[in-house]
Amino acid sequence: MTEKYLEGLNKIISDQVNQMDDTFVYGGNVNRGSFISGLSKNLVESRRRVIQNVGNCEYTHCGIGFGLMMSGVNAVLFVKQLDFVMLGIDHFVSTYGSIRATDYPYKLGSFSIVTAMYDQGYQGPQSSFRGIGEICSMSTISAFMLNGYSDAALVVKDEMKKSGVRFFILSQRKANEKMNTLDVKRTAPDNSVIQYSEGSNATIVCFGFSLSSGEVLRRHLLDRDIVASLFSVNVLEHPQWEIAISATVRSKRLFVLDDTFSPTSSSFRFIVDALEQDPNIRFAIERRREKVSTAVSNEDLEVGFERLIQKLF
Amino acid sequence: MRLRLIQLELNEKLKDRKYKVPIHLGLGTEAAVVAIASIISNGDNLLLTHRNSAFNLELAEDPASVFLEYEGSEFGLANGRLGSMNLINLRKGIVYSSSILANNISVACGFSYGQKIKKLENLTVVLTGDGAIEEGAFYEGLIFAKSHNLRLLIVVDNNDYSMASRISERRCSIDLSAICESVDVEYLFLAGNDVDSYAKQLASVKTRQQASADPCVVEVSTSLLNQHAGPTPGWPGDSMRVDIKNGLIIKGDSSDPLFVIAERLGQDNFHHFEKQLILKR
Repeated sequence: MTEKYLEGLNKIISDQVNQMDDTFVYGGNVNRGSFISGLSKNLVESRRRVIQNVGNCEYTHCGIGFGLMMSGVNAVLFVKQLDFVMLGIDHFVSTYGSIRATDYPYKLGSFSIVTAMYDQGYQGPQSSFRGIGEICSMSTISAFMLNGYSDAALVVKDEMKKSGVRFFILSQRKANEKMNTLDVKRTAPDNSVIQYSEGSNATIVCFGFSLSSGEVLRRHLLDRDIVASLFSVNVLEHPQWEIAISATVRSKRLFVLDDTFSPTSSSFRFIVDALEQDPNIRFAIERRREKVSTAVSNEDLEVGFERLIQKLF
Repeated sequence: MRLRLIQLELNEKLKDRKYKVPIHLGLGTEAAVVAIASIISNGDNLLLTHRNSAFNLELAEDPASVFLEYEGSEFGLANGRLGSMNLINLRKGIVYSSSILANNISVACGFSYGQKIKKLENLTVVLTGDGAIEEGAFYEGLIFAKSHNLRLLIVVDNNDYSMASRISERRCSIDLSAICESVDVEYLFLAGNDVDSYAKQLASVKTRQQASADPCVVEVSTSLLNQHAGPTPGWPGDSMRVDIKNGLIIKGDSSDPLFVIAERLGQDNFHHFEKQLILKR
């Protein structure tokens, strides 16, 4: 597997969409030009699948997805970047709230929003919204952070066809990187937490798009004969992280890597949940401590691997 | 007449502070409500606003189920889970009610597109108002509906008010017919509160939409005869007076659909039917 991140994700997403009937696939330039930087390439129209280039009205695009879902049709909305999704917040919070209070006697369609988070910091002050955690928190809608081939293949295949709404979030920083191909060992029932490695000496739990850094940390530890479990929490709202909590309670040593930009990141809740289970757990966390700049800047999370390891071993 | 009576009964309950949920009556909208309900056939769908009470009362098999819903009862129309502003009735085609201004336009576009993808020729009707057309979402929805040939009927209830503000107090005038013309959408204006005339004109629009699969905007001029929400009168000294003891007619001119009915039937006939209806209730 030598694919780049964006190419690999396009293959996974288009393969899934191309299997869905009674489906409306739409977005600005979804079937034109660069195909949203390659994200929406290879989509195939059929008698029961419409692929529609639509105008510039993102609020309406989001409402349309809910209407399609209520009519029993699946909707897949491609949005070039997360900033544009903000216009739909009324629908995520209010429209979906109303739908969820209703007992429908028929199966609702699915509504998936596929978008890239411009988290590399070079877009400028107006195009660098990264607060997907805040959107999820306000709306209680899940966002799946697509880190690599295995998790993306799993969650896109399982989740895109389900009734209800979710986001699939890509990292712009990783667009041209080689695709992460770590194998999945276990998953939480709702695909919110994925385990990649098993080990009893330490537990590494990654948030956001930090799985690759987590794997580097795991290898650093292995060089010292420390065998660690590696997890990625790839959903930001109410993840079922019991498998990661159990591993943490067993190992008593927890590394948390969190490259999200949210001041209310679920990594803090994870640490609290783990400490509630066992106050003797020791933990080390790498996260964004500086105030996030709105100006052009590099936004890679620099992980101090040695510092983290020395803190716990 | 039946809908007016039920709404008056509801207003009396509101005066008694029987409900905790905010209820937006539609006294004065009955001609439009009854006419719209008359063109909704099996498979057609309605997407309403916070002022959905009159529609739900008109279409419910038993209006008592709506009253129970407002009480939060598990025996209510939606088992007490939706309350007032979001109340729907899937069995009668009310698939969505939104309390957010203009929020339901795009949802209706999606719903209508869903029907199209499923190769159904049902009509989707979305209610909105003179306040909501100030939102950009209205214009966006109009463009989307036209661009994709949606069988969508957008009904604009123009009652002049956005809560306590009249149009002239909050914005410049909007020529809705010109907006519709600019995007090549059929436009129809209804005024006068003649329910039979409204029903015939709407049925004719529906027939055209079934043939052409195009959206249409119908602007209906109404006078809301109750306060924005809650009971009328809403406070001591409120100049707006509504009392069931005064009979079904609230206002003695054509702004009241019941006055229009009385004019048509003749006063004696009207009062005869009025008495019968009240006795039956």
